[in-house]
Amino acid sequence: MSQAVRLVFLVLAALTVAQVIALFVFRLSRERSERRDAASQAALRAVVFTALLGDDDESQGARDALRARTGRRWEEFEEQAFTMIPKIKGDAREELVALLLSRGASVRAMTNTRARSYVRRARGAYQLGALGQRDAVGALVGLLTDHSFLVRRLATRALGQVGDPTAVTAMLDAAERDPELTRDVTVALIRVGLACAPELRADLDTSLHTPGHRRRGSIAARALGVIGDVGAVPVLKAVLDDEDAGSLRWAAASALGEIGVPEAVPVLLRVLGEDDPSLQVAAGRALGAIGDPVAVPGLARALRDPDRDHDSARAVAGALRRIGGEGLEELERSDSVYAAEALALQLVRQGA
Amino acid sequence: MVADDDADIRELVVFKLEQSGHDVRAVGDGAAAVEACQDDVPDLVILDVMMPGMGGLDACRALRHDPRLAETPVILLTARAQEMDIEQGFGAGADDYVVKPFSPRELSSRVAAVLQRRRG
Repeated sequence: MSQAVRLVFLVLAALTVAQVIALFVFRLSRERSERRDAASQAALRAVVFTALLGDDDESQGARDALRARTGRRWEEFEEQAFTMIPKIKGDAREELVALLLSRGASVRAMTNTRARSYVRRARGAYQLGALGQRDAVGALVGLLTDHSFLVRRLATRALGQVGDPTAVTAMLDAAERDPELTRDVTVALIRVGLACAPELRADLDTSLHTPGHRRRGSIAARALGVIGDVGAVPVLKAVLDDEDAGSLRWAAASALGEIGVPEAVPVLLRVLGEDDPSLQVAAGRALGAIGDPVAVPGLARALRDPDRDHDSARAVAGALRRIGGEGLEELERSDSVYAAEALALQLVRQGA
Repeated sequence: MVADDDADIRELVVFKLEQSGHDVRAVGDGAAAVEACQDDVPDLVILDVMMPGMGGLDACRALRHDPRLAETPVILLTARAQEMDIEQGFGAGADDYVVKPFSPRELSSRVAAVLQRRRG
């Protein structure tokens, strides 16, 4: 082996050893740093928990210690607090929010919503949602037209957390513009709850008479159903009565099932006989959810209909199963495979 | 025994229960909870439903299949509050469930109530 080759070999070997040592040192220092961070997080958590849940004197002392933090130490607490808030409720949550507000967290969150970086705007929206202050609604509504989807999504969720019904129209407008926000808007409206029911009913009524408003109408109907707003039954029935309402009728049928009022049974049985398979499925499921035995003869007729498609027949059999009693007797008399399937499911559920 | 993969929640529950006078052990997943319970039978187990590896429902079933642990009260901590999820929890053998986000005070009361019920 020539001298030059031997030298190259030695240099390569030395470089490899150096790389292995560097990697080892890097890993060691990263592990140390992670251990230090974890210990510091654990110590901070202990102070936060004492502030929120400790005995009176202890708790006051911990709150004072947290408020006295400055600079990076306060930022660490603020970060920890914003992570904790969505995980807890009750007195502990209120106390944590009060601590943050006492040191201007709301103002900093507002400033974040105006930042050039979309990450900071998203963080601002998240923080405003966690703090849940109604004076943030204007800023959050403004973020619903942000060019970043992440910001729009977090602003929608934050509006749900704040729970102010004045933001309902803006949220439905956002879903109208941006189909990807549909689920977030629906969840946010449900979170606002009964307080937003009057706005949702009004919007649904307008959607019924406004072509092109099917999506926002469907969102309003679904939210009213999950909220369980009995006051929405007349407008939901009106939607089902309108044969030109298209997909809005599917959402209305589901909503009536969620609300669970027996007075919706006649209109649901009527639409169960229409030709739209999606509407048949929604009506069948809704009748099962309401569980009124008055629907049994109509469901039994529908089960005997040979032209009914697979999903629709399954929904009808499922409704008879959920009604129980007379519904189950009807399934036992039927020779439909869907009746047999529903009865088998009933046996499994009874055994569970 | 408390099992939750979220350190914030795990330590919060430990803090609150220790404050109420309980000795608490905490782990980060269902398998570790079952193992720890088999080593030393606890008075009560709190299991998060969604955990990596073995979740709370499977851990609860495993406890119920162990004759020494079959009667140990189990409270599930769950983010899923639908009727079906709750039914599943009771089907797995849980004694009670607490929906996340939760109030530490409420959790502590539920623990006291379940322990009292079991002690008869």
